[in-house]
Amino acid sequence: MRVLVVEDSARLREAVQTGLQRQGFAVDAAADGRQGLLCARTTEYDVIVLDIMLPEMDGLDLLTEARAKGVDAMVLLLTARDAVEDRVKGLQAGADDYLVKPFSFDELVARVQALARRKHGARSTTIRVDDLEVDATAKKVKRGGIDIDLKPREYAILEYLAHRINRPVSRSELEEHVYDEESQVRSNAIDSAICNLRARLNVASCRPLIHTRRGLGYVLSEQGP
Amino acid sequence: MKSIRRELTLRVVTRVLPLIVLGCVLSYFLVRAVVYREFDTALRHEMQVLASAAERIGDGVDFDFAVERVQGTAIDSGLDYFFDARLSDGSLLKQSPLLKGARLDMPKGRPGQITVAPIMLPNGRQGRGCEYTFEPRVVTLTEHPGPVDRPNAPTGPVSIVIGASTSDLDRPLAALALTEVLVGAGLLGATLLALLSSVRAGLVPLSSLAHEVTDIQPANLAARVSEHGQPQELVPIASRLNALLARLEAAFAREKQFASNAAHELRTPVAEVRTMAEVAADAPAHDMRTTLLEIASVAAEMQGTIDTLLTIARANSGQLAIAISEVDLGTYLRELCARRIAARPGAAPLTCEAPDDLLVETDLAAIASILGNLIDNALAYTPSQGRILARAIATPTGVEVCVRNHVADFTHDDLEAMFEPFWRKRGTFIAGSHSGLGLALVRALCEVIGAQIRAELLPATSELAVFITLPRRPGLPAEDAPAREPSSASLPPTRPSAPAALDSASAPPSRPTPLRT
Repeated sequence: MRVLVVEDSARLREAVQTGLQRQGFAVDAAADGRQGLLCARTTEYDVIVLDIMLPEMDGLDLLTEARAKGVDAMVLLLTARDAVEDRVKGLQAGADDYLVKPFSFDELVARVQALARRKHGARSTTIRVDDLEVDATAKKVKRGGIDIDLKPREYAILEYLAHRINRPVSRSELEEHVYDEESQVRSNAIDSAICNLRARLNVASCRPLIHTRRGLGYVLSEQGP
Repeated sequence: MKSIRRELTLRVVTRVLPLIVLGCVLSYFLVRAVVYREFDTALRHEMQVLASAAERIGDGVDFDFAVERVQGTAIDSGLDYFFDARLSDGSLLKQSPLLKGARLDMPKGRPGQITVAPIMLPNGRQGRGCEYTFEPRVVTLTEHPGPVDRPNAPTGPVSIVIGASTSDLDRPLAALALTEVLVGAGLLGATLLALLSSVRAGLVPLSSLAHEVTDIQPANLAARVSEHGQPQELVPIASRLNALLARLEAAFAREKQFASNAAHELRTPVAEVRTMAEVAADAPAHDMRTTLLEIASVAAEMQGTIDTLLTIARANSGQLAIAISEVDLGTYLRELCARRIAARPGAAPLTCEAPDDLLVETDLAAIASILGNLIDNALAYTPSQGRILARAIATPTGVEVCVRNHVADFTHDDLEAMFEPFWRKRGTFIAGSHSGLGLALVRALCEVIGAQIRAELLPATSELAVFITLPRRPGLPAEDAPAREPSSASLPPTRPSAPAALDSASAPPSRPTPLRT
């Protein structure tokens, strides 16, 4: 899942970015409203964590303009203003959730995860495909009841495919949602990660779940290609 | 607790009650006096009739009068009427049978005059007595041929005393007194009822006003007392109350806004600390030192904000000590601008126009903080394509410093709001350590050093101009201030821009540190 953090406080921005990256998110950061709007319009984010009081462009103005330009990422407003009218104003501007500073980082992570699930139409935190279980909260994967140890990047790819179950996902889409701007993405990084993922999921002679659709990308499905 | 209704009622009653009592008593005694006078008149007439019945005939005296004559007259009351006629030697001439020879006494008046006075009758009742001593009319034997009552009577006047009971008068007078007491009491009761009703009706507008005021709660300070329809006496009260409410509402709004802004400004650094700490908890040990240093830095910024707030509070409450010294404002402003230009090469161009020898007596730390904050504010909020002008000029009343800079979307409403703590115009938020306290501090310090501050919007050039007018000497009228020769020896030391709070208790009098947000 790819997340954009728009926050003018460098310390807070870097702490949130680092914390979310450790949770397996691909995280980009912007320090002011104009930069944030540019990122939101040029990259397809699953969740945008947005401060309201920003230099250059107010967070609410950013949100309004982003929605007008068709940005459909889930938006979590992060602000120090807790008055009801402030919350209403934020939600009416197109935000999906609201978190008041100071906040628990665990709560921020939980809300970002919930918004990511909503983005892909999932309600449960656990996604099941045949005998495969992907626990999006615990970031754990089981197949046939056996725990499978995945690297963070491999888990991120699997979770994104699981959210898009039975739908083909292109390499570029996977790159966009799994890697952030700081990541050094090699040309075959996705293919290599998918190969490793298939190998790790191939336990106890289970049938393959990740299939290649030529010209379309990869699909996670219990049915064949 | 005092009650207007009770006080008013009591006052009216205490004034009306004696009047009613006095009226009743006076009318009673007036009626009584009239009745008694009529009674006395009747007695005098009776006395004249009796006197005309006494005749001296030769050596004797005849009293040609029958008691029965007065039976049934106005003064007759049956057994309560007495008369006693005596000769000059005191011997009895004729008297009422009821006296049975006893004397009917009363003080003698002057001879020839009828005297009336209250007496005690022989039957023990109160009555009126009438006495008349006179020479009887002389009648010849030819005119009165018959026997006389007292032959060989001594010469001299005859004295007649009449006594009549006033019981027939006292009974109606007692009834009159009772009537007057009842009427007075009734009158007092009616007055009281009318008074209570009138006071209640008269106090209705006051009660309504009290209800209106009672209904005003901190949550609805926008409510106002209705001035229209109020009695003339209450209009000034309602008007003053409304003015007070307006001030109260504004103060509450400022307080609420301040609390909200303060909470907002303190939440962000707290969020920084908390998030950094929570994220660092899962970080490798070598990252911990960096995080701790960052947290210490946030704490220092928070302390700076709190110190500035305290300084504003002390300045506003007159608890900020100042140290007056001679300051060459022109030189100080030029040096300050030079330092700022050097520190912010990418900012909008800053021009300084300040002549030498602009000497004022003021607090160096305060004026340094005022000028530093104004210029920092202008540098922070002026677009890079705009310009900033800092100018100091001598005026007849002192020195005027003006800092002008280009602003975007600034309105006249913003002019007043910009001096409120934590105020920042929406959309003009800038990154960095600005907390929105700079201009609030400037205003508070201006008040402390006796400087006047005003802000103007120059729409033609889209510029905001802040003017600071300093008297040449604090507390001295500018026109009386003596002109002073400039002295280079009095140049104030320019201080670095390190933020430090101006402590009212510990601020050094000679070399205070500039204060900045």
